[in-house]
Amino acid sequence: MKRIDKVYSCLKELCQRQFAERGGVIGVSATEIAQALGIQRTNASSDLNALYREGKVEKVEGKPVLYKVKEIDPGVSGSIGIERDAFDAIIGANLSLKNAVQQAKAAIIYPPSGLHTLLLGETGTGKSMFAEVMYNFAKEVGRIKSSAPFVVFNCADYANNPQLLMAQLFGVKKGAYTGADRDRAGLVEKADGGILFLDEVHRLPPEGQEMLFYLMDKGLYRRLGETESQHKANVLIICATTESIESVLLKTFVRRIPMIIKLPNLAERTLEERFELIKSFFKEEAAVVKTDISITSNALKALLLYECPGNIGQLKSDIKLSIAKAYLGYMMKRDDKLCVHTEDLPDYVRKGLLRYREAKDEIDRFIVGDIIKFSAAALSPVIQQDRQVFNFYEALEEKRKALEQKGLSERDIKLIMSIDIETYLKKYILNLDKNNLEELYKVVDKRIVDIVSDFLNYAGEKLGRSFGEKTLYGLSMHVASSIERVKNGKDIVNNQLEDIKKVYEREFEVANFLRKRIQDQFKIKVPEDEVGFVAMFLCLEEEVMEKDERVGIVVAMHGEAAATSIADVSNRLLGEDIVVGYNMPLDQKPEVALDNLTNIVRRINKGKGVLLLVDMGSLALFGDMIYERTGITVKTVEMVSTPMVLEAARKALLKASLEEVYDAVVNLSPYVGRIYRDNVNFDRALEKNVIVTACITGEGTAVKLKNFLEKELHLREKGIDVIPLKIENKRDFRRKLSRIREEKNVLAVVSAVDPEDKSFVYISTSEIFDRRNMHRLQGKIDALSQLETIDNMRDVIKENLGIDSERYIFSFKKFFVTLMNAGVELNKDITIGLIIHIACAIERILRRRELPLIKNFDDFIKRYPDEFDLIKKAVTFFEEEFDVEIPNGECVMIMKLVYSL
Amino acid sequence: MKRILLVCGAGMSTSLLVTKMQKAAKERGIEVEIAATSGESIDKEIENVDVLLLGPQIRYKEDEFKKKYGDKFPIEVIDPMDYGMMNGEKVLDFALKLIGEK
Repeated sequence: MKRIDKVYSCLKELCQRQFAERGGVIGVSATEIAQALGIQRTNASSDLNALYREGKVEKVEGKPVLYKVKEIDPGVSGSIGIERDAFDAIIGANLSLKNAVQQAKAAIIYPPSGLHTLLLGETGTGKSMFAEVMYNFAKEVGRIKSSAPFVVFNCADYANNPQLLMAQLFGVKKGAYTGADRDRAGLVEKADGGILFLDEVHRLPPEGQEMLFYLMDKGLYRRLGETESQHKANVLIICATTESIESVLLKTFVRRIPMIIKLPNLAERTLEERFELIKSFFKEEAAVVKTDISITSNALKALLLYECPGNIGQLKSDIKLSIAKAYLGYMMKRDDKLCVHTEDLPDYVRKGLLRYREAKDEIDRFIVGDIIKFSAAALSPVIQQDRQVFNFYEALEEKRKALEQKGLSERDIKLIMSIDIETYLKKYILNLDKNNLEELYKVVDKRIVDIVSDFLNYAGEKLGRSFGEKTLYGLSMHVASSIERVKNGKDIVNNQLEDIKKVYEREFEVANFLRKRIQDQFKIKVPEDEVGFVAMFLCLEEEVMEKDERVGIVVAMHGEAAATSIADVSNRLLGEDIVVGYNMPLDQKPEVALDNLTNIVRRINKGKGVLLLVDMGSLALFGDMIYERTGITVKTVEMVSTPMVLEAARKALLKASLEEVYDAVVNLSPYVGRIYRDNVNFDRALEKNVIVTACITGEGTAVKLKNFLEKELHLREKGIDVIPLKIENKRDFRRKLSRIREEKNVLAVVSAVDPEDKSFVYISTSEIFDRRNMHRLQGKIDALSQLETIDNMRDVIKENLGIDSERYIFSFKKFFVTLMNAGVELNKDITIGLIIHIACAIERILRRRELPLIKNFDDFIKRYPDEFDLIKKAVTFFEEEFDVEIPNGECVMIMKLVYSL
Repeated sequence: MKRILLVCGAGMSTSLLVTKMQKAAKERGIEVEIAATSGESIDKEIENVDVLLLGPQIRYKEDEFKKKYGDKFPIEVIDPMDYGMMNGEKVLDFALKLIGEK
């Protein structure tokens, strides 16, 4: 037998003996092998290393290095495989923590009394927990008594008072310092016979470190103030630190502590482990709240994937926070079960979904179903499949709940809901496909379908238009659910009721007919709000224009060939030439790309609009700008992928409307769907000052504009909110704007569609897009915040001048906005001066008093003709409001102030 | 008697402020002459001035005035907030302080 084989069989024997005696294999050092075989330690060591290189034995890092036979060896594996100990409870003990667990076991079992250990790991990686498990393991294997103490001390607690820290740790001798009136034991003494866990050990002052090392080496220590006597303590020390091992501070520790165990970051651990962690935290919480907790698959994905620098600790607190939020909704009886939705997650957690695509394959292995339920008792989560039935009211309520949770005020919620209702209705109608239609009679009482059918005939006659099948089915299902609601005593709230009555007067009147029929037939009282919804149904049809043409599909992407190759693939797969690709080389100016894309859209539009699928960046804003230039409806979808293009092309071939094609594509991508659905995405109460962004080409653009404006112009810091709107047409736009204006101070409107209302500062989408305009826009925004200043001046005017301050401020705002829209930037000083100056001037004119004379004002008019014209135009607001004429001389004075001439 | 001169574009809005300052001075029993003028006719009013205050809307003239009269008396722009609120008290304090520093 060769020496190396002897070494191997000796190692195997020793390992087996360890297991028999201790219930675990910690490993054997080269010295022990050398002693057992009577050979040189260096020889034993080199043989062991050779065996390690061959893969026959495993190494346990530490001082000394320990060796053990591989578990696959039949002689040992069977017995090791079944071991059950404290470490098995740790998630990942057999995966990313395998090495750490082996080291820890070795540290505890190592004769005669274990090895002092340093745990390294970022904050939240579970160092304290790990130390405690080591303590439990030590008890299990009998290294320490079952009554042995486990003392925990955080060195950071007294870091600014080294003396007190030392006293806590090592104890005090009477008289060591003022106030030390008796001998006091320290934690080391309390930990005698057990384990002392020192967290954040890098905060230990140098003198403390020395005493600690002395204790480790000799098992002896002195209390504070003691010089003569020493105390004995048999303590196993586990230290922990977040410092990196290379840090100067730790150099000494590394040299003097025999066992160093590194705990991996959350990011270094497997997704499966992370899932297990999440599961265990959910179960923990479920036990606390004494009810099952569910989570939507998307929320779970986000938790699995988000960047979590605080590691497991943060993961746990993020989960707790999300459950607490979900619990609120559950308590308010909005949900019948406690379920965590994505909106319950903090923003940065939700961002995890962005990484879903990368990890899709791995994640889909263990996330099945839409809702995953964790019960306090069950061992593994219960999976539920949710049937996708779009219920209009539920959708609205879900939205309301989401907004409430974000802490928005009741008024703000109403505002947002009223803006959103139409979007939901549309989606509701669009979600009805043929399959649903066949099921209609199974779901809806035949009497209802008959009533609705009758009603639509009646409405068709009255309003002079015909209603399609979709409206029949949509309205039937809707009516069925509202009857249900009324019967169950649930509210029906239409936040847009007043607007509908005004704008859709005729439809509202007609809708009342249906209300009567339902009330008679079902003996219930239908609220007026419901009539409002029915009226809206009648208006929807009007906008869904069917043409026997196809929607155009354009793919635009950065890079030399990406777009055309996706287009090619799609066209070839479908056997039709329907998708057009546009490559945008990285060095191409956006303006050029915009021109080219505009031409493409013009070329392929067949009257049904164009769907623009883009990858990122400025391309996402093109849709609205192309609409602005051509009047062709363009909807934009971001983060394009081949399946999305295929779906778009497929739908387009079926002659679906642009809206339908768009919806199908958006729903294909859970993430895109999410952000677009939550098009009004606020995470706190709305500010008084708002900017409205609006787009006609798909919700994405308005949201994009919102994010862009907020970031570029630091609107948050300025206390300005941006409300993104999805609009159907100009009429719809004006209605929504006037609704918003009732509640908010609208500073500006950013959109491709000009609302043509002089009292709004209007900024077109293409203006935003051009970077060169950014500083100009900044100036505009800065000036906008002056509208508040203007408001604040109302009282001053009222107090000091004999004119109607209310009317004056109102016209001054129009004056101000007119100048701004013409590109004149006014700073606050000038604005204040102007407000008072013009007020004085108007007062004088009204009282027929003389105005101060401006010398040779004609020269100024000649020198600044354009400026003068603008002022002349802007002052008409005052002239009309106060029925006065402002003479040219005075206009020159105002011009001099405005332009600082 | 000290003389405070306020100047703005047309001398109209400052004269509003002047009346407020005069009222504040009277209440406090301070004997002081306060007047307003326009940027154009300032040269005529400049006799015996102890302090010159500018309306914030003609801040851009500050340098020009300082070059012309800076060695004769202090010249400052009125705080826009005080100006906007027509706060006679505070502007009077401001002017008196400037005279004191002379």
